[in-house]
Amino acid sequence: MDRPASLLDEALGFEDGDSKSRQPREGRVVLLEDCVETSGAFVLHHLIKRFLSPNHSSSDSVVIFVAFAQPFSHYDRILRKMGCNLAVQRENKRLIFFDMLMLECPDDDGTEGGLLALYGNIHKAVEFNSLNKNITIIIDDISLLEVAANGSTKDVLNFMHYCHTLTTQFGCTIITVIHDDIYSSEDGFTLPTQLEYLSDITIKAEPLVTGLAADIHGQLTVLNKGLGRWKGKIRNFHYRVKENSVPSASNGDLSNYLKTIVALQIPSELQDGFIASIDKGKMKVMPNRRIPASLLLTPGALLIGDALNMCHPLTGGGMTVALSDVVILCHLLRHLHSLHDPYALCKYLESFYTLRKPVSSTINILAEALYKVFCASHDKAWQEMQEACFEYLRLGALEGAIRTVCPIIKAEGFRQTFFPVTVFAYYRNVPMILWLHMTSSPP
Amino acid sequence: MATSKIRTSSFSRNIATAPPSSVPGLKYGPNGTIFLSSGIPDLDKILGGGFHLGSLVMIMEDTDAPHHMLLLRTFMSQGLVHNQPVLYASPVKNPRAFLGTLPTTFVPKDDNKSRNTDEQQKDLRIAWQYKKYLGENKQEERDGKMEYCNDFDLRKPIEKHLIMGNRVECVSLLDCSNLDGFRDISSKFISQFPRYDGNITSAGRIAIQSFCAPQCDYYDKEWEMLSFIRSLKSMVRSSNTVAFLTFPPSLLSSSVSKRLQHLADTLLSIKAIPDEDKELATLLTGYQDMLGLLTINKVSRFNTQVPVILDATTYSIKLQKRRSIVLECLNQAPVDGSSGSSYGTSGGGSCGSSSKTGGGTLDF
Repeated sequence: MDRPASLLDEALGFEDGDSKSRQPREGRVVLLEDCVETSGAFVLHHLIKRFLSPNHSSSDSVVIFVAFAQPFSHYDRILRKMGCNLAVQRENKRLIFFDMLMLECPDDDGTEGGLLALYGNIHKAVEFNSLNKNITIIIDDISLLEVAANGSTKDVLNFMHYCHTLTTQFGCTIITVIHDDIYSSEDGFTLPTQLEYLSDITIKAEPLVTGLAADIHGQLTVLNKGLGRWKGKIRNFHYRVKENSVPSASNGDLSNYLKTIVALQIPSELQDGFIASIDKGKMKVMPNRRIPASLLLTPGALLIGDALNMCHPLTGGGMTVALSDVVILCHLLRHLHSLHDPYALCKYLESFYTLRKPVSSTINILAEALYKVFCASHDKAWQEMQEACFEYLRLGALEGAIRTVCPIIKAEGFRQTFFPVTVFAYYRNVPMILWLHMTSSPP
Repeated sequence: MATSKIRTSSFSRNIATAPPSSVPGLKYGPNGTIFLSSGIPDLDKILGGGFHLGSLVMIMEDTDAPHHMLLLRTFMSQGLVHNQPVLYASPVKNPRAFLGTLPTTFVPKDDNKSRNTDEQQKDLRIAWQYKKYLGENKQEERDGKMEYCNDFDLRKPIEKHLIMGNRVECVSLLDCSNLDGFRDISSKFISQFPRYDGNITSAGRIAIQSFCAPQCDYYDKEWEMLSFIRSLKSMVRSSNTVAFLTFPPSLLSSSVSKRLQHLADTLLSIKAIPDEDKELATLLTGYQDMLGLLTINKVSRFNTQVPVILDATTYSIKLQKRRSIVLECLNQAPVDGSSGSSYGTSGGGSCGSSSKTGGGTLDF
């Protein structure tokens, strides 16, 4: 879903160069309008993922989420499929989640009191995180906030105005959701109109004029009053909501994706074969994760292999780690007199986790580094690195490859594996190569 | 499904030990959700399995016709058959009297049927109308196990022992001057079915009939009603119950009606079919058998953001052999070629006239 996402991001003013050139404390108000037929929640999930992703502005962003519509587990499951783990972010204090499902504005304080308390909590969270961090406040949704405030539109508007002050004072971005078909029968200065006046960007999700369709779920209209080259322009997109960014294999999306985007990156010698196997349907999809080893404290049970520690399969190092773990464990347990001795068993297992570290960490780092190098990227430096790696391997054929692979097998360490390649990359120009050949030793 | 402890890794083991398939009346759905049957097999199929546990189902009534009662009855009977406690609220003086009208399960006389299928299996079958045979196979598998969704016979009342005792709690909405009392009753009922990762032993059903009926005292207190529905939704979401609520949108202001529609997880609406409507009869096949139209406006999406787009959203409600409810797709009647007018005008004429009847869009 790369293309549509970047179209939407463009319209919202989040370009690629954003993280570098964006003025630091630029608060914006974004209003998301939807209706019964088309829910705009997917835009919200996309924005959450964007703000919490590790690439975004050097992970200095905090999201404060005030949820009236759904419980935490709902958002967690959806974003997990999109590649963002909300539970972990919440633990790392990058996500502050206010569950307002059961909020009832108490009668004694009045609705004003309840909303004031909520604003107080938000303000405290913003102040706490205000140093050098980009803060986003998301409120899902305002129509339910109105119900919680017992219909007092005045109090809701006051609350929104208070939150708006945070954009100027702390440079926060505020994103709110409202169902504007509720107010369509009212005349005059309705709540959506007032919020549209406050907001810099208005996104409206509605069905197509012809109704709902399986291929196009609706249309998004984005009006950006504020920044960038889309200032004052209205953009309209047709959209289709997907579960996650992996195209589905069943309806031909995956083969389409492989043919149009991946095949172009493959060397020309392999392209025909690649496309032929896609046509034959020979595709296997496997999930790929990074799982650092964590202690399992269940007595009598131990995890080995990918279940304990999964890394990128690029180096084929996963099995190496598993087998070396088994060897370490065998050596340890050989000295154990009885498996029924819990104290001794625990001591040995503790040392197991320590002893396995040299091998597993080497292989994990190698796999990660190699993956980063061979990953497609727009960055010139990475591309240069990739070229260097390919040329290095091309050079020595067997030798070069072995020199890279052996350290992996022997787990000698990061430096041993990459030193030959990095030296080569560094000195990779023709005179230098000739000089190397002639003198057969680096200067 | 709400997890009491949040899983930090995607690979942590799923702790639910007893699969709901062993508990009658519940079955697993996608994305970690669990389904409950509505009591009408066709409706379960259309919704993709049934009603999600923890969801709020709303039916928009048509004041001209009482067809929402059919759905309510099958919903409650299904719960009683599966031993799921029911909380029933309605704006009448004596709600318990309604229980006598609940239907019982239909027991087919199956001797003839099994003999026929045996004979058919011996011969070579050319299954060019394969959908007929798919239905038969499913019937044979279901013997001996309690079915997820029963066929209900609307002619016969439910067995007495199922409504005895504490299985059904009845509340009259006329007694409540404000909704706080009812809110307490519902929260006590819902607290019997807390949601947690362990075994699900039972589920509960809440059935509320004609929530915004004018005879109730709270009828003009719109924000109180909305606030009650919102808190009901939150309570139900964090428990193993399904709340089924009907309301008449024509008796409410359009903004309140829209708010209720947004609050619903699954939204259906009933439309009455006028008797002896000649234009509609020319437009649709089987018009005489139809009781009403059921439109599916929204299907609940828990733990996923992908919306469900159905092939057809409007179905006709029919009674098969005057006993069980079936939902059928609308089929356009063949255009009468013998009439003098051309196809264009006759088709256009019938389509134009359909907008007069009820104003709803019929989509095929």
